[in-house]
Amino acid sequence: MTIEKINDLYQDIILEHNQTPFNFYKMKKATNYFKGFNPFCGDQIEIFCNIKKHTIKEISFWSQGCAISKASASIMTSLLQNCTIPEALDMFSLFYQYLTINKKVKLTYKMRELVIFQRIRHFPIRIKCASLPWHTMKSALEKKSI
Amino acid sequence: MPYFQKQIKKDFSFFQYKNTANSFIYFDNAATSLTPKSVINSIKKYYSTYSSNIHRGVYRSSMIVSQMCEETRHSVAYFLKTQDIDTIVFTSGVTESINIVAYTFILNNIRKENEVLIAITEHHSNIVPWQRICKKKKCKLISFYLKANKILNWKDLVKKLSNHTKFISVSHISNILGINNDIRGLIQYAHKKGIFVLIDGAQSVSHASINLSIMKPDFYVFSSHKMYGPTGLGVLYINQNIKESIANFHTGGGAIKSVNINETVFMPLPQKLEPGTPNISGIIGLKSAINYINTITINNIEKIELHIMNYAENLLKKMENVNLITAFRKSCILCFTLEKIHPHDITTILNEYKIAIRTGFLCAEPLLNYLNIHSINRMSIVFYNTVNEVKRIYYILKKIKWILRK
Repeated sequence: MTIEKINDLYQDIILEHNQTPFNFYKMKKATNYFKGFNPFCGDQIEIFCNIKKHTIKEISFWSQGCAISKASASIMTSLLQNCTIPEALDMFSLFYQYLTINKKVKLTYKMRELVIFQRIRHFPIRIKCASLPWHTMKSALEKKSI
Repeated sequence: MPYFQKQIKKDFSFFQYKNTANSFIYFDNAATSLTPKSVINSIKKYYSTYSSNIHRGVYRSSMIVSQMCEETRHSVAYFLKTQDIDTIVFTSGVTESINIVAYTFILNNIRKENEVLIAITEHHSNIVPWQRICKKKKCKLISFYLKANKILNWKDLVKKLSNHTKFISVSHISNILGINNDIRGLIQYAHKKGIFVLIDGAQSVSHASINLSIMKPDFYVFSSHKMYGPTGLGVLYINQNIKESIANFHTGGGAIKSVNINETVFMPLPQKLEPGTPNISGIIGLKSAINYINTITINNIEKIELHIMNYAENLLKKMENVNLITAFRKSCILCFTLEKIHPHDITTILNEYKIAIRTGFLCAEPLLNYLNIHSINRMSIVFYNTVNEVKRIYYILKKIKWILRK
């Protein structure tokens, strides 16, 4: 039972993203940047965005976080490439609701990969790990320039 | 020893609940220790039998409770081997104790350009109050560092001392490195130079024999909940030599001799720093906790903990991917990381196997930055932990590598 519950949390896709994350680099000429911090575990994540005409042309991250936060950041950055800022903020609020509020919240087709974080509800203390990259991205979009 | 420990486990109801906690292995004793039944019973007895306020009622139960609280003060003094009973002050914990020292003594005794010295190993509670005081008084807050083997570097301390240094604040045992620092030498050296010293005994009070009449610090602070007592209670010991210089902190009833509408005459220590109704049940519980430690004896506690610590250290060293943070003169704290596995993932998995350890930067961010570590796992062992529990965590740690496909 224990091992099943753990495997639910640490699914293969999460572990693969953790080992070889997408968009895992420090962007040199970012227009927007923010450093997020989880005081509970000390994790830090940096989000770099290149925004032109309200569209995210490029987004990357750099962190020393846990498997959950790294996988969440990896998927988030691959989803948000070429998204407009309002689209990105909508995705943020939907994913946050999906993690925290309502079991009935359904992810859009575009966001289907994030379904791997469904089981995180059983580990309340880890919700912040999955949401940290998204909160940091939101702060970065709110014009926190380098 | 196994028989002895089996008996000890019976003293803690934590191990006897038949639902969740029944097989839980508790290795987070440095954060808060478990509470023995005797302590819980004494608190229960207060609420169910006496339940009165102290120093106020001229009726039987109030007088009994007042006496019980004063007996705790005597027990604490006896436990810390000091005769200064009137300078044992009950606070809400180490954090409040340090803040009291900062605002009732240091604030009035340092001037612009004075320096406050702390070790890099300090807990945030022993850093932040000094930062605030130093900013307020335009003083410098200086830290001294470690040797290669992670012992406090006394040479660095001496180098950083100057005529401006007014105060040193150091933990007896760091909550990450677990090294028992040579505090006595430090205090003697500082006193020769007229420097005041505060010792943070949060991690040492229940693991090492404390003798304040030999150590002679100016201030010694500890929390009840890290020595098997109730939460929300701590102790501040103030040296007799400086008791007259202590100002008021919070003010109110209980701390006064007389009040007229414009003027107040305050009580001497310890009442001066204990306004309002104190944590009576906590104070009564602390006495039971001290009695409990005295029944087992600090010597036995040290022996058992050393035995388990050595076993745990040797076992963890056998693992290929483990990095132990300290490997010298440890007390009861064993911090480690596993290569390529984030500490937070380790604790989540251990939790599923009913093992509690601590993770994160453990309220000592400056130390972790200095060691260039981002986050760690901490096992803190006490006398009710067993060799079998250590074997269990070792087995699961090995399994984690496989679970996370590393």
